[in-house]
Amino acid sequence: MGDFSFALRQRISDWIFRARIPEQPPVVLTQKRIFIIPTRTGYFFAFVLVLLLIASVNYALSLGFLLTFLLASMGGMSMLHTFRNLARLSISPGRTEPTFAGDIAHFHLVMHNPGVARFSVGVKRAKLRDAEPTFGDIAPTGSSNLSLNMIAESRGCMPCGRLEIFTEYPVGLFHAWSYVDFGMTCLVYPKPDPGAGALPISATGSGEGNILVAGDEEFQSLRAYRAGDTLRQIAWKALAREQGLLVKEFGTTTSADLWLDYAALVGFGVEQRLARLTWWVLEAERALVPYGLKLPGVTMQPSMGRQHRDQCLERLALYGFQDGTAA
Amino acid sequence: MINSSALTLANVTWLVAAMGFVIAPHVQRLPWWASAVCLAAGAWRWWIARNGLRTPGWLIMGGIAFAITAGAFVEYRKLFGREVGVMLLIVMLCLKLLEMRMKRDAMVVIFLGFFLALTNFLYSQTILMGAYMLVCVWLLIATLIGFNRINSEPTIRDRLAPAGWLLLQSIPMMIVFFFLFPRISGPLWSIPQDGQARTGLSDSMSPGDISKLSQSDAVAFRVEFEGAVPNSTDLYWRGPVLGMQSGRGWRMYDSLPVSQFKYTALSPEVKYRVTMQPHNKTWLFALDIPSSLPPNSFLLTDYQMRASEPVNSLKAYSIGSHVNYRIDADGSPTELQKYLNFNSRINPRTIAFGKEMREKYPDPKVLIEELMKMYNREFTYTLEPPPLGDNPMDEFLFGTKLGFCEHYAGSFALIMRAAGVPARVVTGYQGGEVNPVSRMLVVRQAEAHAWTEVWLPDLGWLRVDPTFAVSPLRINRGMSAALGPVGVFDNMVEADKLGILRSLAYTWDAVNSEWNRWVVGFNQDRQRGMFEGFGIPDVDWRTMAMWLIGGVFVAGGGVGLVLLALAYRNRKSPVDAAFERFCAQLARQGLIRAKTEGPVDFLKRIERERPQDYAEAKKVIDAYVAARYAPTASEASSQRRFIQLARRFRSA
Repeated sequence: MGDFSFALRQRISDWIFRARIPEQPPVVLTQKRIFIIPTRTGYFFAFVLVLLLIASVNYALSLGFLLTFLLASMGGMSMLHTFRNLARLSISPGRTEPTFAGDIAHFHLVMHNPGVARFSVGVKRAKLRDAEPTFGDIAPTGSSNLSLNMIAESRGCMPCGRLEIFTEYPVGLFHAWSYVDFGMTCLVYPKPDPGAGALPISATGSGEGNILVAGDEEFQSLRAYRAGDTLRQIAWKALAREQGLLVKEFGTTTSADLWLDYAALVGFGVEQRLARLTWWVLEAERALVPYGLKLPGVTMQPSMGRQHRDQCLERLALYGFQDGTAA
Repeated sequence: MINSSALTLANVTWLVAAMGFVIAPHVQRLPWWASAVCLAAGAWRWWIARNGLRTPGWLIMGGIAFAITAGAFVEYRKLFGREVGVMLLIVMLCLKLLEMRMKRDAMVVIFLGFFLALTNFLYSQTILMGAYMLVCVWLLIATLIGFNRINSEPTIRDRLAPAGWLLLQSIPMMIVFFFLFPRISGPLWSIPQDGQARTGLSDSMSPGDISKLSQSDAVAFRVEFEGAVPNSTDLYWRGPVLGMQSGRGWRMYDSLPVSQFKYTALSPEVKYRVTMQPHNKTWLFALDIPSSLPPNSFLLTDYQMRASEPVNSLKAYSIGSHVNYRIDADGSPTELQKYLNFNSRINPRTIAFGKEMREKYPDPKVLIEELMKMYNREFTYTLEPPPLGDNPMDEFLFGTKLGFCEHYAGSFALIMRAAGVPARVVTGYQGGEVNPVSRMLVVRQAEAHAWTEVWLPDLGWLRVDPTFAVSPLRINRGMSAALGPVGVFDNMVEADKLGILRSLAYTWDAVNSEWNRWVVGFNQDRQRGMFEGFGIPDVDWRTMAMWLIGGVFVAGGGVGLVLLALAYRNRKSPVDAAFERFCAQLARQGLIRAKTEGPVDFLKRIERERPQDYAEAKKVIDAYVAARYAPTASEASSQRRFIQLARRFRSA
């Protein structure tokens, strides 16, 4: 019942506020989509105006009447100014960089202003009681980038949700706002778990603590140079003997690359496994060790570099979500 | 969005300064310690904002507030009433500054600051006060705008300019409200009248009173005659009639209102309109002798005109008078008896002198003539008569012989009573100055005057002005002519040979008079009159509401439409505008840039089609490309360079 009434309210409010999800950028704030109501300060101002009027009547103060009416007119005019402060802003979504769970996701909105200067235009998540707003000024014929920061609670694809663009400038008597929803999302990687320890030497093996420790590795053999190998690995002496560009290989086994295997982490829950795997991905990148990733149904061939890392992290982030959205 | 970060040093400085401006006119009336508390609270608040300190706790604030209330009670002996109320409001609002922790608190202070601005009008509603308060409201709104600039620190211009525009745009609607908002007359609840001294005549007169009043330049009332202004010798503005001789001076009898006028008019009626400055007394002034009465007023048996309520605000009324008249020619002996009483214990020589004169001149008319001759011969008119002792009239008549109008009127009336002729002192104003700009007669406190009326059989009450006998100039040409310039202002005007100051003074007075008529004096009656002027007699509130809504719609809607039209006009960036001007130059030579043509392609076409412009155009277009696609760091300078080049470009 409660769910039903909430859903109904949501539908009605969506209809009133003309929510279309997601919207095609850029969204221009026309008078059709800007709403305006007095603020609490506005109501208090109206109360003070009544006091001024009563005092003017009571003491027959003509200048008191003038003051009362000047302020009342000012209040009315300020509504137009508040409206004007939002009207015709053209809003587009900016690029959202992935982040880790527990870190901050930065959503960006680019606001273009075709008219007069705008001041103190705020953005916050809609329908949230204490959503922290971000404010910005937009110069005439200029653009401004407003970034909205939210804590990424858990891994997955974090939706930005509907945003409220609002302003109370110039005098704070009215609150003008408009909703936009571009369906912006932020990819949230699992929070890396340092408890995972050092990199597992072999994921295909039994998983007995046979660990490759940086610094005490033994020289194994030479192989031909592959793109992505670091300068440190190049066998300079071989090059000097004109044997071609060879690369020194280290480690205990020659055949197996480092495999980060979900299935190998026995005794841990799903999220714990993902957190450890994330940590290892980052560690392997740091140690410049090529690595592969095995998740149930997914296998990433061993490699290295930024692109490989991002792909692996994305698999980890979205593991278990069929449609790519957070549960 | 409520956060304490709104209380920046700049915002707090503005708020404290704006409040200081609003409170400043009150300082002359506040007890010194209250002003000191306000100053200290403002400085303390500023210090807190400057050094990022904590605001004082509620215990300290409560203690201060209690001390202030106690101090107010000691000072005023009450806690309710206008003076004490205003004082408490001012001091508590200053304390609220100290208690301010959030933006919302600042808003409360600013809004109550508007109310404080209104309290200044309780004491003065002049043009200057109005203008000063407009500046104060401007500052308060500029402060308000500063508090609503959340993410950036506004400059002084960023505060004042939008606040000024906002106020300017509100003025048309304010005017509509002012004239069309249905006015309710009278107080909603009875207001205790705090004793507020105003200059003007009083209900008693002793030697020295009127000469003191005569040093004031303040306007008493202004008069607009329907026809020509009567002769100066006829301009006797009748005020309080003092029939009771008591002690050193004269006082009013408690007279009853008369139900009908009993006068014989000997000259045609003069019609005029009086706009009176508030004097907190009930008397109204009319030329001797009023033939009709304004609403809410009545006439006493001694032809004094009274309003039913004290004149606490500007009051305007239309009235008629006959300057030649005969009143109470059939006066009854019992009624006249009270105008023969006098205190025989003081001024014995004067009383003896009166009796002696009566024996010498049994005909009262001759007696009056002889006394006038005496005044003319032996006495001197002066604004600074020497002080008099316990028998003032004796000392004056037989000693100093230097006096002002109240000396002459008082002594003459007493002599007449001693001689058995009913007599009374009439106070009011004599004369006035015609302002050539507004064509109005301006009567100032300096024109305050006292004369006498004596009752003669068949003639009734007859005006006798002994001052006229002493100094005919006073009556014929006015105060300044008789005694030289009065007051600082008159002195300045007197020194002004070219007449510039005088004409400025006249213009200023005319402006004030219009201000009084259309702003200060605009009340329910004037509003009804205005609607009658529109052709709507007996306007009801429904009609007024329709007019008001219509007016607000026109004024507010008009300004609003212009505002939004300007907001909806596309602004071009200065770079684009300059580039368009450049293209327009070439278009005039027949070289029109296609909408999709890039600047570099356009330059190639210029090279082909108008080689004579190529060299200059290349400079402009290179600068344009630099400005348009420049890295942000050098944006401003490359934009400036381009705009300069584009402006200088002339096609050959």
